[in-house]
Amino acid sequence: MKTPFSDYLTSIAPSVKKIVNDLKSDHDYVSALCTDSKGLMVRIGHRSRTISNKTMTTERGVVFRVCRNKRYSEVALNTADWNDTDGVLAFVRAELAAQEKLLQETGTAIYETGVLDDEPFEFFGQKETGTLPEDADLEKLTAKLISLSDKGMEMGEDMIECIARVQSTHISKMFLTPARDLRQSYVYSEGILAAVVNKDGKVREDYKSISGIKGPELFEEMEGLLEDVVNGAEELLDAGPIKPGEYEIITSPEVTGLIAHEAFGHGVEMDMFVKGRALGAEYIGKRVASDNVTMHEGALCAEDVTSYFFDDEGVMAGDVTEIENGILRSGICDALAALRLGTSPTGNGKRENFAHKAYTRMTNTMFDSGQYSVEEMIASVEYGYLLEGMQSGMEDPKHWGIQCIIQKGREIKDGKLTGKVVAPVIMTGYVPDLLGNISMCSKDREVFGSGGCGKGHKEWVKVADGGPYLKTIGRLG
Amino acid sequence: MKTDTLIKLLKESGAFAWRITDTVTKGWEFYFIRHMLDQNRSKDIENIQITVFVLSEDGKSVGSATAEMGPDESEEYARLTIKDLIFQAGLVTDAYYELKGPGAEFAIEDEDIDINRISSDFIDMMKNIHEDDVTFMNSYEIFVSSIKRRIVTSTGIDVTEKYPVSLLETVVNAKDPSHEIEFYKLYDSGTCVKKDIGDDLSKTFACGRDRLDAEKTPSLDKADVVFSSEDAVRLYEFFKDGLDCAFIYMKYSPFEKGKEIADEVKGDRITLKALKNLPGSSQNRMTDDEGSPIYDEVLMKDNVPAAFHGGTKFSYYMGEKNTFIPGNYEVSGGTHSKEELLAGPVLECIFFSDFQVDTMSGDIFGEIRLAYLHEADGTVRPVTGGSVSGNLRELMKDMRMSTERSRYDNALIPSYTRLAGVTVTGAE
Repeated sequence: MKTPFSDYLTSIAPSVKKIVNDLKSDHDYVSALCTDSKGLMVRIGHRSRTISNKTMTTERGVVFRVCRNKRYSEVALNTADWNDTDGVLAFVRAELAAQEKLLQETGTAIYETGVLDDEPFEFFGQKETGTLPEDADLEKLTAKLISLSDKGMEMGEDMIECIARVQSTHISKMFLTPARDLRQSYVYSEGILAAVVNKDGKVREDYKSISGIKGPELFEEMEGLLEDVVNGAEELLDAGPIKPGEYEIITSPEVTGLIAHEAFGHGVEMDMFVKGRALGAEYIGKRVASDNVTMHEGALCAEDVTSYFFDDEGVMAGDVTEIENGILRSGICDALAALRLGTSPTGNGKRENFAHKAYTRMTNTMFDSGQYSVEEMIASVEYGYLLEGMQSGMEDPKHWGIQCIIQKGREIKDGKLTGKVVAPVIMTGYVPDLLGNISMCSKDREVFGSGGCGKGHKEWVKVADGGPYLKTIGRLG
Repeated sequence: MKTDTLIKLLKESGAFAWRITDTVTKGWEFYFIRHMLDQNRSKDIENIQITVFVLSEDGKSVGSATAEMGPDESEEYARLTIKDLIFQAGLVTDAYYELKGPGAEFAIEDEDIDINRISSDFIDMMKNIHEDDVTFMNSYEIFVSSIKRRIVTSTGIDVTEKYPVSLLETVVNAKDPSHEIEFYKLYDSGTCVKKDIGDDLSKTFACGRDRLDAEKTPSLDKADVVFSSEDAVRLYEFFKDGLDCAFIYMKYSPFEKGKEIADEVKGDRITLKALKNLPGSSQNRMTDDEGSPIYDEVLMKDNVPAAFHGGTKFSYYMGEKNTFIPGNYEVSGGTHSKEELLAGPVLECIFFSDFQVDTMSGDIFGEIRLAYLHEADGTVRPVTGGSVSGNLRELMKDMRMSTERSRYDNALIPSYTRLAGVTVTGAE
């Protein structure tokens, strides 16, 4: 079925439009992003269970953006009585005036920016979904998750916890300007199975996840993860540390996605170009990776948790070729950064929620596939590691440093997996070296959307990333 | 939707217990590129969270379900939501527990928080930061909020607190003719603590100059490492989390009251104390997120757990009655001077890409952005790249701390923490 659009947003649209049009009388640009996203979260553990309607992206509110005298300001609120448009308008104007007064008193200089385009455009998009989180059969779902958790506990002798956590969010967003009316609705879901083991006081955890632009029907697929998760945690108990050094490595699609995200995801967010914070600005048209590397970014280049129709600034979703056969072609850009750089926005303006600022953010960040089988790739390694499972990553766009914390490495010797596992593994290095040494890519690729991404250490949004298995050289510790 | 209406609906619902948390946030935000305003923002947000608890028929288990709702929902929506929550809570039951009562009475001041003045303080402070041709502010973001929070429970808690919360994000750059580097820092605080932030930014500028001249970190295999910046807070959170009732009940932490947390300790022993107030902290509250009163309490004395902390459910399971979720804490027990701890050979780590401590396993990781290599002969040189790693459960056996302490938002910790035998992967 088509995902229903929020009745609430439909009901407030006339009032919001009236306020937008009124603000336009003394501003050069006005828009309103209105959100009403409902969700479901169930977390089942052996010792603790919870259920909630809150997920990372549930929200309801409106943010008005205005531009006057080349300065952009925003007022976000969810306390409005939309039947009292005069009252809401008075509040918005009072907030804008109070902040303007402070800026004048402090003699604050303005980073002058042009006026955003407001050509007439109407759009109404509803993605297909199976069920809605609001309509999920919770009795059946919780019973299934409890059964999964119980089964997991019985599968390993060192198991102390098996957690099944699922969430599903029904997104509705409406973007209004005097000339535009864009509305969209879709559902995305994600599930994580985690196993925690404790042997002689040594505690280790492993997890597997699924995600997709689907309803709670996605959770039917979770049972297939259970055995791998429990076995994965158990083998971490016997894993030792890696001897620090540089190795031939093969990255699993999850680790590939982490590299994509940290290397040329954050590295080409073009609001960083405006601030002079990204080395990528100087490398457009230049080689940054081997010939084997092509990378895409955009809500249109995969179907996962962040595959929307339009972004939080009313720009339609895109598919940007960031790297083509090793050459850096383009970055991704929000609307205001695009104005400042004299380029076009790419549909990557995202907010944590309506109450937060829009920045350039990633959606789906993906390496393209190659021509090899995983077996051929492993057979080509003299001594190195197959890296699996991601914990976290961090980039340094100014210096192209990268830090990836990886769940485990499987030793490869003379083209064969030896069965030895090392954990945890920290991979560090210089991005062009890491990507420049990519010599093989596998035929298939996967996308992962169960994680979140911060800008620095805040502004958390949903992202997805992935790709094929990659063979390269990495510094591990 | 008024809280009093929700209280009435919940009392009529037949729920075993319930809790309402109504949070109103009024915030101002200012975003700067260099010292030019990129954007200014205002927000006025109310968030209402309801948790309903149900008792199983046999009285042996309790389930809970939570819903968030906006302030403009109707009474009918709230009534239906509560009905749904009662059904949902029955699906996810745990072993029996009870909500706490109101505890000791205390007076809460209705503080007037002027976000205009606090914002002005931040803007003025940042405009007056001393920069030069080499080191300068690339960009910064100022967030100032006044938060009013009311917590009401079926067990008699009804507390309203108003408090300021501020956040300053800074990006400091340093450049010479050959290259340019940046350091990213976040400062959490209540109001604008000008001197603390100003002093720290001055240190960051100095580090920026050193980072320009830094050599690649050599491979040191196992080395002594000193943590002398905010990243050290991650180390002490491992100990604080290990004293959490939830961690102990779930068997994630082996800490036991009265039993030293490590054998064969060669270094200093930690004393960790929860604090109700810590000047400058963003976490100064009378009550925690569940309405339980916060007070000063020693949680660990000389490496021996003395008390556990945590929320209602797991505290009940652990038989702990007067627990709370601490906001602020201090660590003491250091016996060394700065000079003793920085005596070479030792790697003093100042900036990481993202230093992490897995509080469950004890694994530590971090890519080095700036460290100082102190040699045995007293020479010191800045290095960059490579990483540190190890496991704190082992490393804590030889952990040495300074008597001098520094505050990082809600944590007052030793200014210098030295760990022996850390794995240092070089960048050469």
